[in-house]
Amino acid sequence: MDPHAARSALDGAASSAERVRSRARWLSTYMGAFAVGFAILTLVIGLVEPPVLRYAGFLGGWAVFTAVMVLWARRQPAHLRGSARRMAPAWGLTAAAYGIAIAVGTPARLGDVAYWSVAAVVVATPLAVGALRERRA
Amino acid sequence: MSHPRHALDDLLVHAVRFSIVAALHGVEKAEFALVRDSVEITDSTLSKQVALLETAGYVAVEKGRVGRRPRTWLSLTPDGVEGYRRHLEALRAIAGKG
Repeated sequence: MDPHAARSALDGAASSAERVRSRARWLSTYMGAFAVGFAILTLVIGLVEPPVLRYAGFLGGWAVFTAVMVLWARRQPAHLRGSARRMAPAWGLTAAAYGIAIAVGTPARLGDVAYWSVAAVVVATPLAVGALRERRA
Repeated sequence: MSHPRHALDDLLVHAVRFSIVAALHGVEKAEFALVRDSVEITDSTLSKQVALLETAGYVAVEKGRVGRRPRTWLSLTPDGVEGYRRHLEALRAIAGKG
């Protein structure tokens, strides 16, 4: 094999590798959607009245959203190497922030727009940061 | 010092097989159809080359379903990752000699 053939093989390999990798970057969208979903969920829990609507939003809306996202994820044609390891801290931090926001805010701060707005941003931030990092992976 | 061509992997000297392995290198796993389209080959060519790579222990094949649709997933084994790495190094060394 001569240098020209080697360079040509390297170029060909790089372009097929990039085509597959670009289709494997869907996790960024997935995490971004869940960041928005968690923010909305936090606002619904804290601000929606009456309680029956709040829990309908919590149970129904969240269940449907999660089911749609899981189905979408299952249809994706490739998975980036190391994605599960990279996204675990973002999921853990968002879940912890969500738990703390709910524990501190209910029932004492229900309807407090300032509290729940900040809580929604804090809850969404780890997944949003994770989504941005995954886009560059 | 021996020429870097001696370090080339015999299995990966074939351009299509090298492209398949390169396509799988950056991902945990990829669907058969995506690899076929990315490497720009037919179903039968990919099947044939994947069978050779699987026999050599470079590629793992996993069959499943999403809903009613059958899916075939391809992934590189640790031997495949190592073989690809060595072959890539040799190619870079050869390319650098030009």
